[in-house]
Amino acid sequence: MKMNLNGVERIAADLATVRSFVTDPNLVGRCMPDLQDLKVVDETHMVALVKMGIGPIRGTFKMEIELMPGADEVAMKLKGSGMGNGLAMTSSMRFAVPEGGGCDLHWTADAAVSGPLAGVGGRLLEGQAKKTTEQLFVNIRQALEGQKAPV
Amino acid sequence: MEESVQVLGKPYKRKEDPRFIQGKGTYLDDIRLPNMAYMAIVRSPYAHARVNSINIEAAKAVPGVVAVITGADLAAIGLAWMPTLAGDNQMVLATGKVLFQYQEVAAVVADTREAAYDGAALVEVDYDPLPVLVDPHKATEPGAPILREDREKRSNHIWRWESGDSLATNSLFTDAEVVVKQHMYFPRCHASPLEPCGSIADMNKSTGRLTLYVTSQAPHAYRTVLALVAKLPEHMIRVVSPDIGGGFGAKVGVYPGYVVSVVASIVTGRPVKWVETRTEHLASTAFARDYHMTAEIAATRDGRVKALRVHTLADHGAFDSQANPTKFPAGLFNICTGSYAFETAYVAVDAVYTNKAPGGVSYRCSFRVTEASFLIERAMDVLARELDMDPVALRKLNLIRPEQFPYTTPLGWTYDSGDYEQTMNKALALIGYDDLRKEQEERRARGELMGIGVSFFTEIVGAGPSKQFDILGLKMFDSAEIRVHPTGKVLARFGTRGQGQGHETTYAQIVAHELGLSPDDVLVEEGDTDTAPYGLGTYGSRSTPTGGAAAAMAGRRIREKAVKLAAHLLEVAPEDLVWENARFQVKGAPDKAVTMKDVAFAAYTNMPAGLEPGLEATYYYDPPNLTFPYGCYIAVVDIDKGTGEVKVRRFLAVDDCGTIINPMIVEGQIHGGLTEGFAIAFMQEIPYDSEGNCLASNFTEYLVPTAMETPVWETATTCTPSPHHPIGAKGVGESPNVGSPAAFVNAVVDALAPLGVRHLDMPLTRFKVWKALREAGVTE
Repeated sequence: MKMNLNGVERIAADLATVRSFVTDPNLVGRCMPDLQDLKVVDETHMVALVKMGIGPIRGTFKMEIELMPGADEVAMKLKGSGMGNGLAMTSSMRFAVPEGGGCDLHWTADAAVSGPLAGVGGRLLEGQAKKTTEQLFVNIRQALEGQKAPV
Repeated sequence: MEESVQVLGKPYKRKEDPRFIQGKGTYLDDIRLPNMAYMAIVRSPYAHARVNSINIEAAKAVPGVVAVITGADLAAIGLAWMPTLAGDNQMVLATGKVLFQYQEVAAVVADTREAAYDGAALVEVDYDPLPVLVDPHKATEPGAPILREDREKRSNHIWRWESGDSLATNSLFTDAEVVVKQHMYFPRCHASPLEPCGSIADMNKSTGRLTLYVTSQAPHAYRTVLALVAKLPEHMIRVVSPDIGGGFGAKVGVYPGYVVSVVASIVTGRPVKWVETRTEHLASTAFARDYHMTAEIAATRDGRVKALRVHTLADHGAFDSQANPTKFPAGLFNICTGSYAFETAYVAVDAVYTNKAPGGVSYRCSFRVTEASFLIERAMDVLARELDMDPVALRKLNLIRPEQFPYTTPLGWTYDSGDYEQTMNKALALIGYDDLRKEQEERRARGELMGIGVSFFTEIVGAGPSKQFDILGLKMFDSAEIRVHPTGKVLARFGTRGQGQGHETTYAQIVAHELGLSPDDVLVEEGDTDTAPYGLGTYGSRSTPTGGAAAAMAGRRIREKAVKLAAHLLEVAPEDLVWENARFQVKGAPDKAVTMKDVAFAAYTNMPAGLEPGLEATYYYDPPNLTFPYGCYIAVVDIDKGTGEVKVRRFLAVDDCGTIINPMIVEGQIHGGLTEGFAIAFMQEIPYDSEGNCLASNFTEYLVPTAMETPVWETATTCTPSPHHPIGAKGVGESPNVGSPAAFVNAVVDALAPLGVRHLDMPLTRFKVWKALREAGVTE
């Protein structure tokens, strides 16, 4: 199952702060929804253990994440596996300063899910994947705004 | 004097049923051996990916896990790949890359089933996903990923098979008054018997003997293949196929799990059981059909068919693991001229690989006959529509006539016997065809959607003959061994393996008929290669045509000896005796007679000098021809315009399977097959998404009809015995699956015809019919 998602988070922080947040594996890594454990390998690589589940399929996924900061955008590559499933996601984040200040984080995410999760949970998967992906960027915003410590 | 017994044609209750309906059958998973370990298989989540590495440490650390086996372990002993029954090669456990989702990657063996699955969940496989090929039409396009790196041929094209005369066919098409062309897809579906596949391998290291209990429709073939592939001496292998909870073709092929369980038993020195889950069964065990077919008929304007031209694209998934005879890579698909007298025909089939589960087996049909029958029966309806003829009238005009039998088709088959029009007329009368058409007219005038669908199929069953048929070189005969005990009771053993068809009763009736005994006197055994005579197994409706014939011939062999014993008892010459009323009686003096029971006792207690004691015979039967059962099926449907729901109001099946041995069993077979045909027509498909994810890997997605959905079946028979079978019988188990899908689809398309619908592909789900209604402008 392939999905293309995108969205915008308006964040009450300046562009430089946002950019430096999402390129720091220690910070952005902690924004993974349902994070169980985070191991930062180096300044662009981390391994996250996250809880995931749809219907009867529940368990822990191991995600290998690579951050690729570019001039205009920050790309993130994610390869996950768990309970006999495979997940591949590439995400890009671009930044813009809206009228009135702060920072708009424009994100896109292309995800492909393989395994029983796509077969058995197929009908529910799209909604769940959308929710989880959006949550990642909501968590980033909330962390930056100091509303909530990332979980 | 005992009353003579007529045992053929009697509805004897099934001898096997008391144990089955009490839950006392012994299926594979009921077998528990001392010190037995359990195996779980790790499967690929990806449809196409490079396997970089496999880490088994965490799995090995699970309490109770005793071994983890990977493709590399199998490669070290030359077993990473195995031959399929179609002559292709298939990975046992993945090495290098995976080619379909749910492909076998590693196996975990443990003290308990739970520990094995816990261990399997912890095997870490590092994959690099590769581009996925799902659409078979794109398989041979430039730039398509080449799936099979093991083959010399750098293409996803597997083979092309042709049958018939292409030049003569093309020329008739050029000159034809009318040509119709219809593309139709017979979706990928699955036999999905209630019992999934499994095995218990028990390698006894002290004796060097391997016993393999396995859900197999063909245990002897397994033994020989195992001996050749694993290089084990064949006499040191015993294959036991216990009670089988349905096979329908899904238990003909050899699956990786079986092979790995054997290796696991050798590695651990313990018996190892593997039983797949429903998801594993649906998503990795061989599928059926998946034929993309284009049919063209050339005909005269007054409705005489002249030529048939067919092209098929066959999607075999990652490995061609059909169980087809060597000479027939597309099975008996060239039976597709059906019941009609075509002048000429030409068929071509191209087979390709895709990133899907391997197959495809023949699901309750003799090697692609369901696809062929569906093709011709749909195409005849399309032609009737084009000519504005009644589909029954068109069929009647073109049916092969009784005096043409034995009839040789333009594609080379010789039909044994038939009186097609008689069967058709019986069906029309029973269903009240003319009245139904009148009713339909009235309903159409009121805007209602009622459809009548007819299918007149001809089946081809009972492979051999050995001159045409083999599986991996093993000729397709079958066998029976009859032992008559001193008290006149009989043990009869067969090379076939029933899976619920009622062999223990049908065979007992044949043996009893030949020996003048009661079926109660005959115990039938199948499935143990140590005791059964060599045979090719049960599939393709071949048991009665081959095993049943062997039973009759072995019975006659018994009688050849028995007549000498009878002559001795009656103190006459054997020439003075006749076999009549199930007894040996003196010609002209019917009171002077002995029964088989008398003779049997004499065979052990009072044999004449010079005659070998005992009374038993074995017969290996190589049929002179296949048998060709046929039938006329008629479906009547009503469609709800608002919801797209199709209600099958009536369904009549008139079958001709030659001599009927047990009418109750035949009717049961017809009911079962019609229910499967109904499911195929309306509910079942195994689709894949663009990533190669299997989207019907369980019973919430892959639907099986319950009593709630299943229509009421009306059945009847006609009888034209086969001249090519010792008792005139033909196979029947598969006829309803072969004949019914076209009747259902023809009925639905007939109902939608006033809206301009010409064809719909199965499954005819409510949504698909609803969409067709909306596209035709229906708004209510």
